[in-house]
Amino acid sequence: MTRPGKPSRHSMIMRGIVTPIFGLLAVTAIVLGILNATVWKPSAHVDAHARTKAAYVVTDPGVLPLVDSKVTMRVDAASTGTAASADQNSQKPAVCMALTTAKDAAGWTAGQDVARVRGLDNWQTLSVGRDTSPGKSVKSDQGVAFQDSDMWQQVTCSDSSVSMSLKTDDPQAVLLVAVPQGAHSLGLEMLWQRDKLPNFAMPFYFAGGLLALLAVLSATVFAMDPVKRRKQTEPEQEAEETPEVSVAQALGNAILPGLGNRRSPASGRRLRHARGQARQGDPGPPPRPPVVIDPRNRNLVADQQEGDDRRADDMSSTRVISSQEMASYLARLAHEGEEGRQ
Amino acid sequence: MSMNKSMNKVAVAAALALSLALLPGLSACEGQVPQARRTEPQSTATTAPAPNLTPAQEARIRKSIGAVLDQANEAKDPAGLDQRVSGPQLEIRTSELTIARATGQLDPKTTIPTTIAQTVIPGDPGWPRSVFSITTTTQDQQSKRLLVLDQESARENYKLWGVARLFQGAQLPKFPVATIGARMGQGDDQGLKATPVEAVRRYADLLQNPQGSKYAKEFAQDDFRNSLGTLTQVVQQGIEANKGSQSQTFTPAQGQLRVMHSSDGGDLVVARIDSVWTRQAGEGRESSPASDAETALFGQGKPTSTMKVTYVNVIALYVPSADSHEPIRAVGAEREPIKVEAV
Repeated sequence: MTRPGKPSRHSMIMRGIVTPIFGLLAVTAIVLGILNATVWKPSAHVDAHARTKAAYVVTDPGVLPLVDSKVTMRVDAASTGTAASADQNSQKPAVCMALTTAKDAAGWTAGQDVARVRGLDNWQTLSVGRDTSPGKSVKSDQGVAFQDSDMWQQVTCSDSSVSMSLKTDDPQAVLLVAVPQGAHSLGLEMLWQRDKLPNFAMPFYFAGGLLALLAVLSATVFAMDPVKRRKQTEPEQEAEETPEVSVAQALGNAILPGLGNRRSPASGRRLRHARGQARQGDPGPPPRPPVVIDPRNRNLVADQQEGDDRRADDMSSTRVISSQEMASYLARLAHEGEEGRQ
Repeated sequence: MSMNKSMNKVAVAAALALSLALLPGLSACEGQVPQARRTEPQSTATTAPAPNLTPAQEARIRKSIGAVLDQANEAKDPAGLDQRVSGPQLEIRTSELTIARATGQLDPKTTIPTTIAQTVIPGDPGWPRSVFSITTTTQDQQSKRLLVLDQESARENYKLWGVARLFQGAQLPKFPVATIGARMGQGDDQGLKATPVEAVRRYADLLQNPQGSKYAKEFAQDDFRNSLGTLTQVVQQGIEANKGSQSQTFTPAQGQLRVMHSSDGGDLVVARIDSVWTRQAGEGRESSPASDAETALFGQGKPTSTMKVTYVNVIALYVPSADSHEPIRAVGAEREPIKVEAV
């Protein structure tokens, strides 16, 4: 029972606890959304590095389009720095890079130690492993020079640093880096340019809007006394309702109205109507089964004969006034006419 | 009232605590580092393998081959041909250049158009690999050429392995488009009218015994056999006049064939068949070369009663699948004498 003029406990909980919670959460979500759209906005460029020492470096299938289709790979070949080969070190090694397929890269590097770029360890570091390509090793001086091979879709060579920019979605495309003079310390860099940045702000905006709506509802509709929310049709039964709610019930009621309702299943309005109907003992007419009319199964002669009778019936059934009523009406009219004349 | 105040404080405190507790959950939205998906090797029986070359690469390869051929043609010197020419085509082209040097001009049949009508690029991993390219007709309306480009190993480049001039009106089988990837065949492919090796052997038998070969019914008539039969008959008339004799042997070269699966289940086979034409003059006469090409190759050699001419033949055969009602048919050929000697 609620006293008039004083808010119920349910209303106090809804307006005092639930609404501020939703309000704060809504503000927080929107602030986080704004932060994700500005300060924490994902960078359009993903720049990852690694360093390895190898004569061949090959990217695994799927690494080139890992972040986006636009990718640039840059390789810097540094000198080995050993004192014994100071003369050689003064001459910078040639580095070549080729765009090819995984099977062609494996064919070229058969039997050789290869540094494999497997992907990203984190957003700044490339994951690099070492492997030996299957197949029989071929002496490097046999066959054509790396840059002259037909197998490369693109190839570029330079004295010390080489880079290649691509736009590819082909998961089988790989980049093969070769240092013809043997293993050298190589600085690897892969730079992806993202055309479509992931929108982390939108989910926060959505959640913020939803929470704000819930806050408003908590302060208004859900804060109303349940008794007042119903029509005053059955006051004697409404009086039996208890307004006692806990915080959990109120929260649940705000999120999913009816979830925190502890009332007995039979106390709902619809169920009351159903119960009343059952009490009357009138289950109502059983539902009629659908009538199936097969237009092919017709006796046309019988239909013709029935048609005449039906037309007569139709005439009588469609009349506004019966013949007897018409006769009495005419008699009454004649009688009134005579009275008028008299 | 005091009850209400304390309740309000509790409510505010609870709201703040709950809000702060839920904050970290909402702020944990860092993007995850993407992982490269490990793709399985292709070229299973059901999936079309990715082609080994792009059409642009194929065009670049043909351009490189064309540059080497043009250089040799201009110099009429086969030196350097082996950079981009191999297999039977290397011997054929060397002979053609030798003949051109003797006659002063290159035979028009040596022309290879630079534009193509179709290219068939397989996706099979491993080596050797082949690419079949069909050119357009030449400017003087010669028939299309079927080019076989071959890559022996990963460390070698594609080379022009064989050229067959397609017969007029020859119907080639259908192949997957170059961007999808075809499949190479092997010499012992089953499910065909005959394995590619066996089909080439039977065709060689048919060339050697045009009248009496038991395989005659398995092959459709073709221009190559017709023209060869006509030439043999003409030579036979001359030889009979001086009571001489002639014989030709045709032998498939071991392992010298390239096979490509067609979309309709058959195989297009390009194979080398070596032949030796021996002509013996009677009544103490000398046997002389039978054509300008043979004359050029014979050069200043001293003729004897017997002339032995070695030919390299490149035959393109279409071998239908075993359940097809079509016969095996030759769709193109090339024939070139490479050695003429008096024995």
